[in-house]
Amino acid sequence: MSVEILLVPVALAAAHAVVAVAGAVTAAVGDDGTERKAIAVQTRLKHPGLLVDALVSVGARATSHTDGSVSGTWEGIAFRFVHNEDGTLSAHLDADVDVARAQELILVTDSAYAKAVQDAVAQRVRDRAGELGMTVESETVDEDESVTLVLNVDQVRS
Amino acid sequence: MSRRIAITINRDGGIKAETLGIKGKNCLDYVPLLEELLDAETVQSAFTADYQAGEVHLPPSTTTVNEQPS
Repeated sequence: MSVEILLVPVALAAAHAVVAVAGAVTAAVGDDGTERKAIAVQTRLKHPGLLVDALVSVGARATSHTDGSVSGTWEGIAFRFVHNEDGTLSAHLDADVDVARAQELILVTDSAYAKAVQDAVAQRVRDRAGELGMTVESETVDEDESVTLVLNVDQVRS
Repeated sequence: MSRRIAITINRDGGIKAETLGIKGKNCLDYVPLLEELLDAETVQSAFTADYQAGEVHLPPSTTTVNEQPS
């Protein structure tokens, strides 16, 4: 052992909590783009493509748009995710939505998104290790669902 | 002893990487390589016993969670 580092994938923001309700705003909600009273929910999610996959995996209907936003519905709740200046996505939901249900949507989506990120990072390691002179020696999945890959780096110039 | 890196990708998306059998400051060369490989940013780092075994002094520009101000 010589150095231990903690990293956060660029698809996730390190500084944000998993979910935080930011309060009332006027914003487009759902697919029609019409602005109305809404609540904004801050997330740590950043990648629209992974977000659509995550939303679909939890039973939502979701569509990404050319401006990077993602709209759709989940169990009757219309939503639209839009980018903030820091690259994270906030969810806009109808103001009359039950806040607990809104948080449930964000939490299940966050969990599915995190799983998608985990899968994507592991696949990236498998795909790119060889290009960087590394060899995947082993791969294990632990009880907590974490994935550990051990790379041999003898061929990497340092 | 072979040089290895153990990468653990947690269910919440967080990643821990640990160099194994790499002594001294050479271990730092792997930080940017890992960031590229993982498409990720380093948020925290700490030197462990093997680093101390290979080097007497820490680089002055490097911050570690174990380092205490004198």
